[in-house]
Amino acid sequence: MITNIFRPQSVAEALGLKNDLKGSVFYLAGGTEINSKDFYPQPDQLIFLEGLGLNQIQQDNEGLTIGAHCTMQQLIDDTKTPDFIKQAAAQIINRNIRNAATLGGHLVCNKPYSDIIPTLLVAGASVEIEGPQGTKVVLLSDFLQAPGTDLLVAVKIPQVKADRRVSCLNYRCSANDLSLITTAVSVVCQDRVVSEIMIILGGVGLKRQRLLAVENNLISRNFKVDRARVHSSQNEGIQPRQSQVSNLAGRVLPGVDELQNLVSRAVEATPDFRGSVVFKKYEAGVMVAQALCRACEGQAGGGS
Amino acid sequence: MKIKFKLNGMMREWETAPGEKVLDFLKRHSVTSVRNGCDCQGSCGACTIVVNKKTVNACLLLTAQIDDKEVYTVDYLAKNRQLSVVQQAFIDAGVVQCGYCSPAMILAVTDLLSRNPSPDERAVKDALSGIFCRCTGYQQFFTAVSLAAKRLVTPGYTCQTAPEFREDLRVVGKVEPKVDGPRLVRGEKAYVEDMVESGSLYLKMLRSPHAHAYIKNIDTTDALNMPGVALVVTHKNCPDVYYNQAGQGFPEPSPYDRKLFGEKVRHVGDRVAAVVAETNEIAAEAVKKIRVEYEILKPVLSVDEAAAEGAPLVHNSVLEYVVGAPKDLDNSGADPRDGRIIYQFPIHAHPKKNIAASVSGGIGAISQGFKDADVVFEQEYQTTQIQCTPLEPHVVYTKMAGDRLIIHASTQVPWHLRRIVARILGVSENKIRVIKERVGGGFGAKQDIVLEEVAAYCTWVTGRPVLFKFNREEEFIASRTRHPMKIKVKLGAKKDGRLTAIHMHVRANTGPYGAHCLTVPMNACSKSLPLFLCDHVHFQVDTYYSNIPPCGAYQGYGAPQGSYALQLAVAELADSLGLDHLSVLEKNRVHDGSMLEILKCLGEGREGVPQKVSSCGLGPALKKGAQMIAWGHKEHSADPDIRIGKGVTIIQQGSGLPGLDSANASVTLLGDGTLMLLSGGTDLGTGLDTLTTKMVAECLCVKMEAVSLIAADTDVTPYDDGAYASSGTFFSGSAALEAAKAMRQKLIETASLMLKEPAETLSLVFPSQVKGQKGSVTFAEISRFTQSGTGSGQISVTAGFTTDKAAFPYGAHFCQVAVNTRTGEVRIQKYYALQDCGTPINPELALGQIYGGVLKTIGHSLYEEMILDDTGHCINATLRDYRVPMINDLPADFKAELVETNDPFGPYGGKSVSEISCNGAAPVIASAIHDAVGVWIRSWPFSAEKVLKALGKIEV
Ligand SMILES: Cc1cc2nc3c(=O)[nH]c(=O)nc-3n(C[C@H](O)[C@H](O)[C@H](O)COP(=O)(O)OP(=O)(O)OC[C@H]3O[C@@H](n4cnc5c(N)ncnc54)[C@H](O)[C@@H]3O)c2cc1C
Ligand code: FES
Ligand code: FES
Repeated sequence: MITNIFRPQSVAEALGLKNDLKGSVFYLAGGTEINSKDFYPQPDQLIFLEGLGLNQIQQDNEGLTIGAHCTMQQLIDDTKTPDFIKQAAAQIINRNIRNAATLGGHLVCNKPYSDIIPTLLVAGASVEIEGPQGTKVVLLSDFLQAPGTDLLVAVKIPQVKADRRVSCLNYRCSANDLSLITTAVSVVCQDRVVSEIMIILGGVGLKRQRLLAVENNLISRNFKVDRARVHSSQNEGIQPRQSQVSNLAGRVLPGVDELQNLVSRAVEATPDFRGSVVFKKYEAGVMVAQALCRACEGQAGGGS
Repeated sequence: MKIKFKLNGMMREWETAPGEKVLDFLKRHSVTSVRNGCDCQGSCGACTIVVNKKTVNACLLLTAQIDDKEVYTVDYLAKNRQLSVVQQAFIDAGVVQCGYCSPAMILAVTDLLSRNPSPDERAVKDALSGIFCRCTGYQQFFTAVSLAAKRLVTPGYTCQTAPEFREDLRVVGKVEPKVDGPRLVRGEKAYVEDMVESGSLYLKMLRSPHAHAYIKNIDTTDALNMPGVALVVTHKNCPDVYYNQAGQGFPEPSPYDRKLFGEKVRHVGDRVAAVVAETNEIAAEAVKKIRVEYEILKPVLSVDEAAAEGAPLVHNSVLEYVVGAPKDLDNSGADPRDGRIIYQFPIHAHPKKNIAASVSGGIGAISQGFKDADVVFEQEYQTTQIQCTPLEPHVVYTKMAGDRLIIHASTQVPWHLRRIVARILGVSENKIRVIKERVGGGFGAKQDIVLEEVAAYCTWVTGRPVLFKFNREEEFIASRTRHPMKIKVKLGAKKDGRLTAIHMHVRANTGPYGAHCLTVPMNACSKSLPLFLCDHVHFQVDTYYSNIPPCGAYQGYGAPQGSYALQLAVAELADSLGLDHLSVLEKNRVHDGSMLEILKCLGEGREGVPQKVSSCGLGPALKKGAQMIAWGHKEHSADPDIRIGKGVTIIQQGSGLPGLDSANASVTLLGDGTLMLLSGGTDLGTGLDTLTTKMVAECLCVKMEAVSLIAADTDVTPYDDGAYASSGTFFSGSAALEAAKAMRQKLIETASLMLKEPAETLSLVFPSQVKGQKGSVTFAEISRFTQSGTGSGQISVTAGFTTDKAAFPYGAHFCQVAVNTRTGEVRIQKYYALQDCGTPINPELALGQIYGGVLKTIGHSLYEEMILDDTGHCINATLRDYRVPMINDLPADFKAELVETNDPFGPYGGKSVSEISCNGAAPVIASAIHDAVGVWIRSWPFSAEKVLKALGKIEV
């Protein structure tokens, strides 16, 4: 049972409270997770972060700094947010949730089906955290290994390289369901030669996966990107994410079918009522291949 | 702690516990418009409020999070009872059905229009993306938003929100405000949970963790010793009365195979003990303190398992018959712990083979029909268990008034509820009053008495008011669901597609108890076979007991399963003959005036009667639908992975049960000439109250505002069987019309005295007058005349409606799907539902019934499904995991069209509209998938995984 809620007005005050209070003490942001009866362990004291002013989005030469208390909808509505992050945030289930859910709370929860974490990872995001040891900036990928109990202050997205292209996709069986597959891909191209690929996949297993083997396999083929045909299927009611698997026409890049198989083989999937292992691995192959196509075909310097 | 915030424009400083949720906090302060439909999981949006100009779910917020903020609920919007623009637009567009979601939807639209004064469809979908509405099918929200947006710029703007019918009538066939609309859009107290008084007790149920087990021991001592616990009821101290929970007319064609609590539990979630206590929390704590020892038995989960040789018996009970006991009745070997089963009359049950009921019959000579055929086609189809998911879970509030029990119920069957509770309590019906409050969605699940009797018993014993509300999991595992079925269809046909023989074998799974075990599976035949004119037809229905969560009535009542099997079989037959599906349907379908001989063997537990089709709009529906979808024109996608296909299906239902159902209404003339209508009809949000009001207003030539209505209160209004079997328009509507006609007669007779003119020369004229050749009198004058000291007394009439005539609604559904052969995903590009409901009495609400029924069944065709593990636990018993359709699941192009016919027996030509809408989606989508990619998917839902398997893309 919650016995106390504190409303600190500064980061220092919040840290002090976190340090001093005994028992099951948690930070409270949007509350969409921690206020649920399924949250474990149930908190008995909460430190509400709203007064800390961590809801700013700032752009400078280094990149973008997103305050941890920014909500998903705020990310979508702010003109400073790059399109590829807006797209990822917009994949989150619905407006009511996006209006409450904060980025900080989201990262700390680190759900395998997160629709935005794959994109932040491929964008090379890092997080600024405050704890008893002071301020630290760590790579998001490291932070997610063990989110810990420190205060997450901000998320930093490095300036996207001019030649980096990012694409994200998710697939859910119906609009009210969690993503069965959620993936983001980034590619870096110089002179149309792909020099870097990063593929992150969530939803299919208990843990999010980076498909390193697939990345290495593709890089070793030293392929070039040719503009491939993109089919617009909007008039058929098919969202682009489901329909744009197309022939990449890359020189050394395998065809879409081979790419799909490559990914499917590399994926670790857990069966549940949403689908069998075979289905999830197959569908992951389709989605990743599609995201990769879109990244290759997309606008450089951002999303597709 | 205290928080200070602005609520609906007023500064408030209120005490709160640090962990209190905003939803509970607002409810504690009498803001009842904020609802809970998903146990605070964030997946229904019924609790939507606006905090600092953002819509959020109040169930996921703590009170500290609204400190210093501005909070709005729907209660703010209606100033001095004047509706806001958005509230009015909701009523005008017909998007208020049960109204349980309306406050949330209205806030979301109000917020949208404040951000974006002319939103497009995408913006509307985004704004409403988190709010679940089970009733409306969402489509008309686009109209509501556009109407509101225009009125904000041009006050008074109007447009036609739905087509209108019957130029000869004033209100029937016209768009008129739903009579309960204003109350619901204002978010006023209207539902059972709003009636709870302080000092009430709360009921929580201990439910079985096992699908099949005997209770060896149960120890309630610790629970009873807890302060605040008023009563614990188990099989040891409950009445020894057998009954069936199905809200059907007496004598029911369902077995009395349960007591309040049994010594055997037959499904995960079956009742073990009820605890009533001073608070919900104490009741929940006490439930945990009950110690139970089970003897676990092997569960039976499917019809195949139930039918297997040596299968565990779900009811190894002693059988008794009120009438018609079979001569060879043998009760040896029954286990006393299984209790008894009492049959009111034989339903061909064989519990020793797990058969709950069975029936067979036919016309012609089926073997001859197959001999006459050039081709014989046979196939089996399978359907899964689907939950009704009304947004308002089951809820009841019971209390004593003197020596009488009052039941505030969210029910479809107030009178059956009274009868069943009276039987269990062992009291006479005059000791019980049932008040049907506004119902937050029923869809069949509320035709059954799944919680009312327990609360009633607890109130009867303790004398205290008791609230019992299901949580969402209980709604899945302990209310009602669509029967899973396996249906074999065998067709004989000539080369030209003319059917020579139809055989249907339905094997249905009723679950642990036999509610509707005969009639739902029978409807798989009775609402599908009569669509085809074929001389040789035979059917066999076998319903099995099992240990899955209980099945029962769900909108469509077996017809969606039967329709899926038979219509798809005909599609497959047409394909195998190389014939156009539509022309095969045309060749075999029923017409105006057709004689439906098959119905003589499809009575519901009694002898049936053949019926003549009194009106049939199938011809125009098929013609128009074919034009709309460009039937015969193959569509292609630029994307090589996408294949496009089209499908068609024909559907029917009934309008109540002629010969079984009855309805009554009374009309009273008030002093100023206005009228009071008392209708037994049970409005579940469908618009029945508006319909009965229209009947009276139309017939008596008065304005709708001159008729006030009280409905479905067993103390106040006359008897009605209830809202099921699509009976509302035909039975309750006709009863209101008959009462109005009786009032018209009285008005004319009295006016004849007053005007001294013969009755034959008098007629009613609008508004509220009787006119003769010499003069006229107003209803107010008539009333004063009769109510005065020298008059004959207040005019009040009552009329009943029964009939042996049927009025079948018909329809044709067309759809176009895009199947992504790479992902397996099926997208509905176009869905056109053309339906003949006779005269559409409330056109905008009739459209809403169609959209709602179709979207529900698109849901079960594509992704909805209760999934049980092999121990019988439902592993997706939440709105999210079960996947209810949201606004973002709508077909890209979704149209409902009303095909007018004028039924000679329906009131003002009206027929039913709602249930039939559920019968088309599965077969039409499956046909379209085949047209697109050449595979037949013979079990619903047509998930991406199933499509990929059928396409050979992944291993089976
Ligand atoms: C119904 C529902 C549907 C959803 N659908 C989706 C979906 O489709 N896609 C998707 O990606 N996600 C989805 N989510 C997840 C959602 O995005 C997260 O719940 C949300 O982002 C969590 O943020 P919050 O602000 O509400 O966190 P809170 O609930 O406030 O906190 C969550 C955790 O984070 C900690 N915390 C919060 N802020 C900080 C901080 N600054 N520093 C340190 N610790 C902190 C808290 O102590 C707590 O442990 C869904 C959630 C719900 C409830
Ligand atoms: S009750 Fe809040 S979202 Fe369902
Ligand atoms: S009207 Fe929306 S849930 Fe009933």
